[in-house]
Amino acid sequence: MLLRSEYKVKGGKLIKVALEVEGDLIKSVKIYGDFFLYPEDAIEQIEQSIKGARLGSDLRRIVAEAVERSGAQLLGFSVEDIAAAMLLASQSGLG
Amino acid sequence: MTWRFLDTGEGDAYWNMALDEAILTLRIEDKVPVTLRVYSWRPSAVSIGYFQSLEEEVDLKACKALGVDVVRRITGGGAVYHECGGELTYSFVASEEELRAKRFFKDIQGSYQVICEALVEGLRKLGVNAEFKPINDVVVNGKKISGNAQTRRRGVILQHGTILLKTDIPTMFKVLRVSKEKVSDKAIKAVEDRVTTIYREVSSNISLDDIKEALRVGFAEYFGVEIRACAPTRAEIDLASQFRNHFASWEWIARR
Repeated sequence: MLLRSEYKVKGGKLIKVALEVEGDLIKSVKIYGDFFLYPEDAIEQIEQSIKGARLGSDLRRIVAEAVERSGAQLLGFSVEDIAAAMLLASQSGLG
Repeated sequence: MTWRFLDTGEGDAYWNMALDEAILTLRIEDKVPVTLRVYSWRPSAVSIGYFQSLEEEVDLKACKALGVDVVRRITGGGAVYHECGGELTYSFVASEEELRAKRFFKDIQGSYQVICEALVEGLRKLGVNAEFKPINDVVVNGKKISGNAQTRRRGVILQHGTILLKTDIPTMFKVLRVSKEKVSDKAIKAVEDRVTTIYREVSSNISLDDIKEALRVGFAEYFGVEIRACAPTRAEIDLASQFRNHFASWEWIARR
């Protein structure tokens, strides 16, 4: 099942998340948007880190650790915003 | 050390993005000086940010029908409709270190501010009362006149941005994917209220050359350097020709 969300960040940027899930297992995730992230290719490491996580798990911590490992710097959004956008996507499948 | 001004005129989307990356690459290798480049887009094109989804941001059918090219930038940020004759784009390439030696800044946001303030200095030469608005905009009385985006590689910054001369919001709404309600007359009016243009702020009689010269002088005064008009080097043209294929490839454009 593909779960999607659009999350408006305070300050104006937009994060779009596409979560592919099987049960509560995250098979893949894509994080799109008009934000800035340096270096840019760190987005793939962040997306990879979430693969295999469970929907109910601490996604904020997983993202935070991936950001830390990749040395990425975020501008216009935060780790919390990514987690919130993923949570929003996961809830879109509940209704 | 003298900085360099390049006016490369009109180019297509792939060439425009390729030359920016070539300048960045050669600045990293110290083969070209700090560079301010100005250019326009022919044909009109949509550029999308590095992290954006092509299919969610762009109506490819509409682009094809209207002869509008689509390219993905190496910089983040949002989708831009670059109307041929409707805007002027600049790019600026300098290392963090050499920029900081001229104007101090703390972090990435600070570097956007410094470069945008140089742009503001240029716009003020034209009588446009512009100011920087975080994160990456330049506004006049709160209305956006310029959007900017940067990437950084090995200590070197490439920042590019578009400066609106006039708007064609109906076409912009056709080529960019916006929800149905956004295409209404009311929505078009809403965008017109949120953005402004050089022609509106100054006069539509202003020449493109005058705007370019104002930017050159604005950057030079803001950073306290001489910026001399040059032509691209042979190495830049060759490298850009290579990069162009990459930017024109479906693999890159539809990457996300």
